[in-house]
Amino acid sequence: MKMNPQEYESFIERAVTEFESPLIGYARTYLYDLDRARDVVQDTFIRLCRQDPEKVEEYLKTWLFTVCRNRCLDVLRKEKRIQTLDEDKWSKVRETEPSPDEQMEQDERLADVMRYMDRLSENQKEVILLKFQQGMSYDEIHKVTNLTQGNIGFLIHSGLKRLRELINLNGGVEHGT
Amino acid sequence: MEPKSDEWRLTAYVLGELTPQEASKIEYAVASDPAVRLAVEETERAQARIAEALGRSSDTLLPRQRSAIMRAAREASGVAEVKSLKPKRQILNIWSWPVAAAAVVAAGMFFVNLITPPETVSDVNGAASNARENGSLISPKKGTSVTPLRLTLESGNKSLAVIARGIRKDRNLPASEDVKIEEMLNAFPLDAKRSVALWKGCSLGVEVLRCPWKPSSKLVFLKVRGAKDTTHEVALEYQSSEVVELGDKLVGYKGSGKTTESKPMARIMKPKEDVYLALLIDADDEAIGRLSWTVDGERAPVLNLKEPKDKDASKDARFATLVCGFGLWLRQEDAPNVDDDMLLAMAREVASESLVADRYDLLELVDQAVKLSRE
Repeated sequence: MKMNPQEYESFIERAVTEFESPLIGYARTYLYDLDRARDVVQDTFIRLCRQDPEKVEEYLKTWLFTVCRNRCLDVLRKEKRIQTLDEDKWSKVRETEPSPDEQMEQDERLADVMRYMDRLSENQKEVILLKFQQGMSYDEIHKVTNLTQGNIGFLIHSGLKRLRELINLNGGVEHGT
Repeated sequence: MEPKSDEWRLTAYVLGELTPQEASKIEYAVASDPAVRLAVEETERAQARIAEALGRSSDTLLPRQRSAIMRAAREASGVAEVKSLKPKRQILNIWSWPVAAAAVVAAGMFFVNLITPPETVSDVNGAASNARENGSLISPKKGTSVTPLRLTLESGNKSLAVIARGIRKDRNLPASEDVKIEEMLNAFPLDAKRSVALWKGCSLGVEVLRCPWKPSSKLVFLKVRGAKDTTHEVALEYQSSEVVELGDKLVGYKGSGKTTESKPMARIMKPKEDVYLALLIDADDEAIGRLSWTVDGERAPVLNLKEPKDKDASKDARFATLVCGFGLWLRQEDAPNVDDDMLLAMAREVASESLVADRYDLLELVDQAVKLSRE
């Protein structure tokens, strides 16, 4: 490891500052619970501390999301979660902590979209989240999921198409419209 | 080729994922075909709506979680510092636990012998004896050479039952002397088979992993199993190219006093009987020595100890690590490294797997113990 201890700690601190919120948001879409999402993200960063920074620095974002994703899947496998349309789990999005009106509205919009997303295939849902929520490129999504870029493009296209149909069928996502 | 209105490339174009050449074809189609233009506009509206709804999380980690991460970072960065220090030494720390069949109560002698200059035998054995008598830690003088280390193993799992009763019924954390790590480990059937050597029907398995609360050290789990139908005498040695200091962490068992025997005492292994041993070796090298063993006096294949770089620890190793960590936490040993956050992180890692009932019970016990400590 060429970094001195101060540089190394700064590297970890920068990674936490930059990626903790996106990772928590990403983990929540799997686990539907803020506390559990935080726990998974904490584990992810602790695993980062066990890596040689020179080996991961270049593709840190995809490394973090890959590990976070795998941890979420481990948790879900352990609980044998069945991915069905379920209103109750999305109530946690609203009730986890008190929030100002604007945040509550955002949570409700998120809850609506996630209900529709639950009707997509797992792969469609995953690539759409990584693209629209995390702003990843097709190449970065490929590194996290191991899907080919052609497949990713098709999944996003077909997933968006299906979401458009569901949103239109249900009168839109925005409240009060 | 003219792009059709339902081609996935239109979506990729809206998302900026096409090459300049491909993008220019779409732009031409948008300009010349109203159906393509409509499809692009609908896709743009949909992706904007979904991106807005999904949004970006503003949630952050809790302060205690950030502290745990930075603590792990400081510990890991400390490895870099250790590398620059000299000389390289290995400090041997030992937990041991027998996992004989529950009906087998007879205690056996199990030895780990280390290559050592003979003049140091009595000093270190004396130190080891003191540790065995009171179950506490010993701190050898630096530069002390290695000596054969005798371990007295007691079967049974009373310690875990005592701890569990105290926590659940009496709502008290146990006294340090009631926490015997080898007995806690003995309560669970565990395996170690990343590398396995076979001889005369007996097997020696081993797994090496980095110690989670002390990244400069490695945990080594060993399992010796007797043959299927016959009884054999098995002896085991740990060998290292470095000078090995007899370290601390002879935790939780009582011995029979001083001994000056320099030869290992073999363990009589009954058919299918198991013996487990855990070592904590303070070494930052990948290769940390080797295991040399004999069956009925005959040399068996040697096992080199090496931390694998590309494999995760097995479920059994992770669980055994948790049990060891829990024991240390209860005894308040190595307190800065095995604190609440580290213990709970190890428990969460185990919890992410499918568990049998007794392991799940331990997780609950860990959770209850931590809550009790915070009251």
